[in-house]
Amino acid sequence: MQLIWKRNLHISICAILFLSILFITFSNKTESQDAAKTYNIDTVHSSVIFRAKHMGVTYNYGRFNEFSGNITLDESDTSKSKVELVVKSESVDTANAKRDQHLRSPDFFNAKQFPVITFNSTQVSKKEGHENTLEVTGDFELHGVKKSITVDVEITGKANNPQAGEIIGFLATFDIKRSEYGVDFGLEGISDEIQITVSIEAGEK
Amino acid sequence: MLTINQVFFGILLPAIVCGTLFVISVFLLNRDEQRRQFQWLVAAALGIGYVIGHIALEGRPNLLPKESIHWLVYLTLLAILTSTYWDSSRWIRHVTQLIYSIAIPRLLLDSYFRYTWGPIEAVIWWVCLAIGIFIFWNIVLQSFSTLPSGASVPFVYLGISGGTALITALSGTIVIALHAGIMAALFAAIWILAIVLQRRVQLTGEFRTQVFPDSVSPVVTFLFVGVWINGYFYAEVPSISVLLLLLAPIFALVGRINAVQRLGERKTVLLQICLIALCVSIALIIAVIRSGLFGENTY
Repeated sequence: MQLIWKRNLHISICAILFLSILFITFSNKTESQDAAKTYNIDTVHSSVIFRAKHMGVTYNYGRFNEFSGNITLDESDTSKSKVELVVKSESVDTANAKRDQHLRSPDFFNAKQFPVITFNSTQVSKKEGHENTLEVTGDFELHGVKKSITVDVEITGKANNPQAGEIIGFLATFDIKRSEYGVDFGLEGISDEIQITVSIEAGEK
Repeated sequence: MLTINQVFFGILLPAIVCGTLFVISVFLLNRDEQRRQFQWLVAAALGIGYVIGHIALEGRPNLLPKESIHWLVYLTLLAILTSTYWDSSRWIRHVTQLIYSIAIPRLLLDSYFRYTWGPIEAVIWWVCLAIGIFIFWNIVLQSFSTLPSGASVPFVYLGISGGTALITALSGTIVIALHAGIMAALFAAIWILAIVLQRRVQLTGEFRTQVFPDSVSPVVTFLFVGVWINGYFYAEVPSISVLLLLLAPIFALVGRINAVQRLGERKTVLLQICLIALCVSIALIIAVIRSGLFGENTY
């Protein structure tokens, strides 16, 4: 009799343990799924701009009119966050048609041969000492050359848009050396250092 | 803006190397018993000259070229290799022409095949370009034998490559224009040397009848086709300009018309060169108009 009672107790403990493990796993999963949100870039309210110094004298600004991408943000575990950005190099716009044609040519972006400029994150972490800034490391591909870069991304705001649901804003500014990407035409007149600014508004999917 | 280094290594050095190899080849070809054996040296003179200029402008090429224009180094080296067996057999020559005509568009237009064209469009373009390259190659071959020997062949190709350089520059790409510039420098060097050699050396053998042996045709074809494909597909060279440049050497064939031959050798060559120059000039005028060079929209 005592043996049966002991065996039942043993089974009960095992069952409780098993159910507890199941519950913990399940509840954690649900929590993490809830925490990670994916946002679609709203191109109407976003900008990808760049600047280059002309003859060492003045900054000239340009923009890309066509781009797309997704941002997955997990605020409880930022390492699970992701950033994907695709910019069409053909859409370069510097407010001068001849200059844009030259920028699209093989001298610069070679837009027909390398139609997209991409950024895909490989690691996202919170920047120490900065409440709303993420440190995003990823592969930046320009002119067919891929390089790993780290960019500070500031979360500029969050809101609930009655039409689009939850929206979030990001801002990143970083410098590249175009010669490192094989874009080395006219370095005497147009700076090697190019500053790129990405200002994104993204709506929850 | 071109630096002194680029001008020297990209234009002058290739011309010097090409000229030196050309003179060596002429002297070797002039020795009767060995004249066929060294025909490939003329192709090597042009090819090696171009490779030096290309490396000076673009740097050392990657093993697998990233940009279409970088394929020209490998194509030029293959063209030199092809020139070594060009006279071996007619069938081998035709098969070689066919293989290259098919392979070149696929190599140079990889991004179009991957990103731009659908399957049907890609096949149509591929077939048309392969046929176009094959025809152009044969036009080049015919022009070598139809134009009188000496300075006229390199002069004609100097005009076409110079026109190509100007047209590509006007169409918004200096990089591709510089590649055509290298070619112009090479043809200029050979043109000048051909004039000098004709006056100073008692020429014998095949050089007397044909300054460019047929085995030079792969190098000439690959370089022109490479630059034009890059200019048309990756820059914005007008299609009519490309077609006119492509067809320009065909006017050398008017020298075969009996009525023209009756004009005499001097007038025939003058007519041939004038027609080719007219073709290149129209191509250039179209590029100037399309470029908006004299318009308000400049930068």
